[in-house]
Amino acid sequence: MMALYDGHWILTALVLLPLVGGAACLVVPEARAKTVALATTLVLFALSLPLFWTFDTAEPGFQNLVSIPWIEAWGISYAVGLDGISILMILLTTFTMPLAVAGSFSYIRRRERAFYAMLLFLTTGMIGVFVALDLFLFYVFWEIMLIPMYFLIGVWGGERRIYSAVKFFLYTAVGSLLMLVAIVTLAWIFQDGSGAWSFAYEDLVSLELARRAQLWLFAGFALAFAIKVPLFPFHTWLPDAHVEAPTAGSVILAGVLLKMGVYGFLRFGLPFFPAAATDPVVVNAMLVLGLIGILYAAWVAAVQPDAKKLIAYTSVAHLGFVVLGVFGLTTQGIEGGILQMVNHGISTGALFLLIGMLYERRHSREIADFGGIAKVMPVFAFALVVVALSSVGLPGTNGFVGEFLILVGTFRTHPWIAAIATTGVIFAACYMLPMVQRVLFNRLDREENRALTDVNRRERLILAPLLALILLIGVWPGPFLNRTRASVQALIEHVETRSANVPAAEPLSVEPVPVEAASAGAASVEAGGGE
Amino acid sequence: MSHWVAFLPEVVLSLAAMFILMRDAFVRPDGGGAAGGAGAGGDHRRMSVDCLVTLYSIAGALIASLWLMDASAPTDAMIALDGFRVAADVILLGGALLVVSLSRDYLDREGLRSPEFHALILLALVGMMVLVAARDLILLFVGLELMSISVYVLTGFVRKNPRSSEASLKYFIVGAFASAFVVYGIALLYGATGTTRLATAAEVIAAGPAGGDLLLVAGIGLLLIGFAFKIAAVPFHMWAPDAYDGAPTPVTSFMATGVKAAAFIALLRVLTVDLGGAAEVWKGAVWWLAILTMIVPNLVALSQQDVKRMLAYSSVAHAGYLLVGVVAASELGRSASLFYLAAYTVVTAGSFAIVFHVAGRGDRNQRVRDYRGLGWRRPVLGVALLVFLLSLAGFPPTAGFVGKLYLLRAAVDAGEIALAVTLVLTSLVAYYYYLRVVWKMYFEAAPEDAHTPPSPRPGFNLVIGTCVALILLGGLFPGRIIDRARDALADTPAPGMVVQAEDPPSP
Repeated sequence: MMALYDGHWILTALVLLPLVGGAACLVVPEARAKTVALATTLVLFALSLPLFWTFDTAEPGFQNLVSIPWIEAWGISYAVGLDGISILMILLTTFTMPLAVAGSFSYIRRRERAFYAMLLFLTTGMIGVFVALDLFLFYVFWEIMLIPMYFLIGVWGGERRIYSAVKFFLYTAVGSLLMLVAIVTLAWIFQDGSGAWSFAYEDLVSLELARRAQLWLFAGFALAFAIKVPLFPFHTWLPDAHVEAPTAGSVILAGVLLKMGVYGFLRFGLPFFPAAATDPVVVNAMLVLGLIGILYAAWVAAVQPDAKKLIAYTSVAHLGFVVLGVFGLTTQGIEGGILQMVNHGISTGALFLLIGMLYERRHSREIADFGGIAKVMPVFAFALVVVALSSVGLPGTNGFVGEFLILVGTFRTHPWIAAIATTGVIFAACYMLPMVQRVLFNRLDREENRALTDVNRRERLILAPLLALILLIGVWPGPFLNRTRASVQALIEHVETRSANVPAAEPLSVEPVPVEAASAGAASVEAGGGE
Repeated sequence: MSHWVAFLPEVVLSLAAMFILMRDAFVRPDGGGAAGGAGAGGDHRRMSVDCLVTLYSIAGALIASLWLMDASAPTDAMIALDGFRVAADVILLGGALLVVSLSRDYLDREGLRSPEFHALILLALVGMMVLVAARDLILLFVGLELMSISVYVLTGFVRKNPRSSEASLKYFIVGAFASAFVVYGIALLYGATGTTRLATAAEVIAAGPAGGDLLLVAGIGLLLIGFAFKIAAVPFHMWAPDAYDGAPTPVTSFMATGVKAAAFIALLRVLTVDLGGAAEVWKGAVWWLAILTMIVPNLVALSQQDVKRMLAYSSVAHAGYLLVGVVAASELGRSASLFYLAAYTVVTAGSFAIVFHVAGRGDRNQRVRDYRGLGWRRPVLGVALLVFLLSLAGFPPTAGFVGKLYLLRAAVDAGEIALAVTLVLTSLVAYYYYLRVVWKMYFEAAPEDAHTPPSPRPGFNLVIGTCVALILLGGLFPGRIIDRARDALADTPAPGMVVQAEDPPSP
């Protein structure tokens, strides 16, 4: 078994399997689609799980590497690999998918074949984004994901689904298109130095760019990632998309899609443009935006009457923490950030699933419509309390470990920011706990709520692994942090040595000649040549 | 063997056109000559034969053109015989093949069964091929006129429909105007360089303009304006939406693919290869044309409620993207433009075909709202249109995305970051109106009394399926096509270079 996993086929299998499963969903009878989808995602999870143990924790570079020439004339190859930054993200994806599928069994009642096919196509895109080591390939996966998500929100969403789907699509596309220009420019700079075009990660990461070029290109990438995170003020697509999406869509959005922004910063933004990513102005801007996200989202969440919208805003706050951890540029901060992404995927995914279960029974998500339902739904109440506490970051749950590491890491380099961010933990309690109280406790004064049935066996099976992971990571985070450590340390080292080597004094000095043309051109477009 | 072989593809098409016209004159449609027998059945049969003759002759011309691939002509010949011409022929003939094979149902449905339709398509094709192959300005003008006049007639082919007649008249007046610009530009270029042969003119320009800068600048300027009309570049695009909208949809499809491609390829070659020595004269102007043509139609298309008109504006916008390849004025730019054109041709032919199929008799249902729920009622049409729209929008994994990336590379390589950024931002605007059709098709339910288009014939599905396969293949495995596009240009002789005359291989 172990020997098999040294092979190269595993990542490709993870990418292709959902594609095949999705196609199968389209051709089987309507009633069978859900079974096919569940089977596919379970096999996918079973396939990916051994990676956790076969992963070499001492190796900072890429493992299970495959590189096959694809479009040779342009230096594009099918290149995939795994390292400490992506492994947890891949496992999070394969872990989330069976839950998202199973959570849709009773929620989705029409056009089931297309629904499950879209979920599976989306999975291909998500795994592809996390394993791709060629920028062309990465971009293809990054963009392809939009289409199934657009359909998931638009076809199976709520009242304002079309508005939300289009908003989601266009917001994400703005960033990606500028990123495409930046990618092409990078490949061109490589070509100018070496004579051949290349989109390969290893080639482009070795480029030594001048400071100015780094700043422009970083901006191109950062916008795409900031929208995806979503970083304040680019977050406005998120509440709409989350609220209108069907449960599975929200779970995947929160669980996986939002992670791609931060993943992009860690995989591309920091290592490609170390001078830009360590530039004090950039770092401070990112930290402050993250901080605003934490506080602002917490306050907005506190006044939401709609439980789903409230949870949507908590995503903005949680991802704000992750951004703090990343741009604090310390090992603890980044490790905590990665772990916190996993935590957020688990706890917010669970919250969306729970709200979905409530909605299926009561057809309402208004907090005011509930009250005292702990009496009629005790198991549900137990799950909601545990998940809410994890989301708030109570010690003993996974949320605490992540936030603590982030705050410690950020405190080492930016004590004030970390200090203010700490209040975010308190605000989190201020919006989450009253919501739990108003839904579960208080008086059971509505007649409709007395008839609610507790979670059934299928729903318990969905919730059990989530609750188990919440507690497991809470008390024993070591194995998870181990997986990321070597790569994160290598990343920090890379960023520090490379940013030290770039001439920092003169902002206009340009090292390689060609970069001048690129950056000057970019300047004239985006800032009217303001130098 | 003489150099006449160089005209073989054109000769095949011309003969087929003559055959179709003659057959009409001599063979009675009902076969027996009985009065009253010339009903729809006879018409129908005759049209089927016309259609087949047309398809076979186009295929024949395609084979002839590919057979000429290895031949070469002296640089000062009147007609080119090189990879560039073959690549252009493949795009034009391939596009025509798709358009003709898809439009049979439409012609039958709308009762447009007269043989002139196919004859004119073939003659227009001859004009296009002469236009892209011409190495002499006079021949270039002949090709341009042959193409244009045939298409004016095709635009007004539905005589009883006032919109069709209006479109034809508009197109004719503006087109004649544009031709006048071209011919005046040719005259001034002749004045500046003393020759109508493009290769010779290139040498003269490279050696320093003989007739003074002013003549050259004026000549290039007028030529450029004429071609800008033909490819409908902003601000010379006003006629295009009306003409596209009024023409019978297969003709619109033919105009948006063939006519535009031919004029564009000719412009690409004349400007970037032959007049490349005078790049400083035209580069600024084309830069602005590209910027405007990317921005304006994309914004106007946002508010269109009619899918055909929306596609018309989108087609104008694509001319803007293509102009980016002209501004790059490099081998990369030329091969990028050719690749983009090929992808665009397939997608445009396919999407217009779906539009006229959905529209139903008399083109009643071609508003965006008529597409509500279409994706679920006619899954094949829905998925095909989805793929075409994604390709037009430049979304992976379609050929449209690879084409856009190709153009971006050319722009970045030429240092034109501003064009690259405009290209992607205007694509973003385009996302909205392409997505709108998608959301009507899939997100909105069809009203009770909605018209459901009939299931298309297997033949129609086959051709549409081929288009979809081509688009996805071009998006996932574009390697071979890219190599071809690059090779097509590798043997374009640089200006001033003399190549030994060589006979083409004997048949």
